Amino acid sequence: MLTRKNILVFNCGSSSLNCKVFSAAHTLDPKPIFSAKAHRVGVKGTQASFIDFKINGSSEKMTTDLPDHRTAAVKILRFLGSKGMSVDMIGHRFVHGGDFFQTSSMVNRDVLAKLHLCGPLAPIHNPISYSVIMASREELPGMGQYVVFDTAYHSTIPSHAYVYPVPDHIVEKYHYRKFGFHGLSYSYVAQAVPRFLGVSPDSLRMVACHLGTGGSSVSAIFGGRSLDNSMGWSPLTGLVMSTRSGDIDPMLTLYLTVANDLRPDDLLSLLTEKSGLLGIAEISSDLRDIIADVCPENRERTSLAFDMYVHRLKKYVGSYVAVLGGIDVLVFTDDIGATNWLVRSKTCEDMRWCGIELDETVNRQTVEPKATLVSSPDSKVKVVAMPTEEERIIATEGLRFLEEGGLS
Amino acid sequence: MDQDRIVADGVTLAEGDWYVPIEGRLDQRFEPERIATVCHNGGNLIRDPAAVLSGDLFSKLRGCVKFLPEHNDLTIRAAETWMKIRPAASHVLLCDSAFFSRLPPPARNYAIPYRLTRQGVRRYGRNGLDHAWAVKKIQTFIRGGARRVVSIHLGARSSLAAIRDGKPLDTTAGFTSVEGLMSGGACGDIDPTIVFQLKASGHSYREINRMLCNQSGFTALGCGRWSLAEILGTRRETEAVTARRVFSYQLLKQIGAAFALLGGADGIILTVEGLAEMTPFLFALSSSLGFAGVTTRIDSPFGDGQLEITSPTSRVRVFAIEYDPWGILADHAWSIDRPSTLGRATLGRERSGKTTDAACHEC
Repeated sequence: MLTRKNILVFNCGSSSLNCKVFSAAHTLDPKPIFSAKAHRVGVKGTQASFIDFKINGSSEKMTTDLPDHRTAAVKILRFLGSKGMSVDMIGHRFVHGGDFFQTSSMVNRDVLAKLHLCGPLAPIHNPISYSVIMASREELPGMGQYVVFDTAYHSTIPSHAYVYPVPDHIVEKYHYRKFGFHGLSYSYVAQAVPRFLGVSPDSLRMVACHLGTGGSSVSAIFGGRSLDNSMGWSPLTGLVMSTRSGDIDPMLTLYLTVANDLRPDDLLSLLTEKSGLLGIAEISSDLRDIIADVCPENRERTSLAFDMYVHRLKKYVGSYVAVLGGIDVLVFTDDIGATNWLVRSKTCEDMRWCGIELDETVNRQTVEPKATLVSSPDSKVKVVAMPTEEERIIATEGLRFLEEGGLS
Repeated sequence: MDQDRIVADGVTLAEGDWYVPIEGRLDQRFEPERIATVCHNGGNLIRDPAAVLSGDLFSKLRGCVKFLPEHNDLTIRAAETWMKIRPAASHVLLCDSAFFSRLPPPARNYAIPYRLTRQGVRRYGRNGLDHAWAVKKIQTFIRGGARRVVSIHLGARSSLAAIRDGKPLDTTAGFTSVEGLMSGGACGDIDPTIVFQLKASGHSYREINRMLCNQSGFTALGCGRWSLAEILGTRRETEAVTARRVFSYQLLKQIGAAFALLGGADGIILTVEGLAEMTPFLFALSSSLGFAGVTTRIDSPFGDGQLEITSPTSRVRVFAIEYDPWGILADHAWSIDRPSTLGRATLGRERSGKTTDAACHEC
């Protein structure tokens, strides 16, 4: 049994930074006692960046420049210090652990070197998580830190879904396969949704849509285990995201490189930082700006961006319904999924063929991040809007380290 | 070239790849009434699957060379030569990408910087002539017709299209035919980051192109020398187990995606290379769609190269047809009226009706 410990968790989204402090005496019961969320980190948009703090039942909002995640992390750590809150350990979400990491790991010099090498595997996420780890080391020298990997949850994806049919010699050399991402979020909803609905997770066929302000994906989950995920070897593929293209013809990359005389790095930057909603609409990478019609003279393009977003999402939901041989639960989670009624409504439009029917009134009213059943009473499929708690999964891992005496 | 059949059909089908060397060997008595040349990618300029070859169409065709340089250049040369040596015939252009030229923007565009979309970087699809033909064909099988159709072509290069009211809503092939379902040597949908990573690891673009277009797909899974019918049929049950699982899974996902876009389906039509051999696979595939309203039958009437997989009461009807590429091209070639400048009767019936027009019977 542990004495009560405070675990600080950093969770870098591509355009946000979540931070929570959990207090717990054992792994089953971490209680959040502080939270901060930095919004529009490094975003080219029309609204200012800010950090929301919640501590001791009160809220504070800090409007401030957030050019990068490192800056956001430092501001959060200093805010915590100013409130006199101590922490015992810091945990980090790390999107892609490549072949180096199949489980969570304490951070030491050797691990840091490997994390650095993982940078190119998730070029948007891994470098920013690394920068937050380094910022934490500088702000709180000597503090124990650990990393939890998104890719671990998807280790149950079967081979027919993860195989890329490319030559053996490059598969063996570079380990090409689908890894899948947002594993911490899916791990959370796979447990939390059956609890919320009061049903057994065994044999439950669930399609979960993790729709964030930066990255988004869809997963097919059977009995709590991942069967597929829309992201691939990297987090570039799948849905249309804020600045990522999602699925494109692989040969298009060659064509664009040759036709536009681009270097591979330029093209990677084009597809990860200048594509997606931003590439189509050009006014913002934030779906909320696009839906809010912040630039009416650009309405044709913002409409197109939204339609493309929903079109791709709907396709993946349909694909995974087919993979599962039907569906029992459809889940919308993370910032957009849990709070955006329009995305849910458009995704569920005309989906009675597989038993999905929304209660449009309840759905329209569900704009706060709170677990809500938004399907109609007659719907064969339960549709749930639910905030994700990746941070809780990360905190639980930290408490496990403490229990096992892994804190070095 | 099956000249007898072509003469009987009253149409000659010329593909750029093989035409040019044939000129010297052509029987001078061979006077086709209609000559059709196939263009594989008409870019965003050619929007009719079948059209009379005119000066304007030639201009558009020349503007499309950039989309598929080797093929399209030959297509132009073939069409010009045929027009020169058989001036009395009516000449038409069949365009494989035209059916998908009117894909709705959310399906047509990639989520990339819009300036690239303006430059013509978009999804062009594949097997457009086959899908356009198939969606008409299924209307003849279902009383009252089928508004929401999933058309699947299974062959050397497979693809799928979601079609509503005769118009495509989406398809699997993209800017190139590599995107979508894997094929003999092409990888299909993979993470494009792999291209950057290979380049960063020192591979040349030529090598990467070869690896992903010629050495991937079924070839990479050890089945490159077999037809799709062999792989999905029972003959290679043991050797092709991985390839069959991966392909079946890809196909099932694409069918699910099409259902989602269509809001369910009234019918699925498959044009299949090697129907008899693939029949057990098609039944297994259809059985896995029970949740979506597909009810398979036990005793399927099979005849004349076509098969109904579902029972007549199935909410979604599934039909499979032996793929007849030349027959499909001929149907398209006859689908347009003959230019009135030729001064002949222009009835333009479907070839399958065997009653094209008086001029045809003279051939």
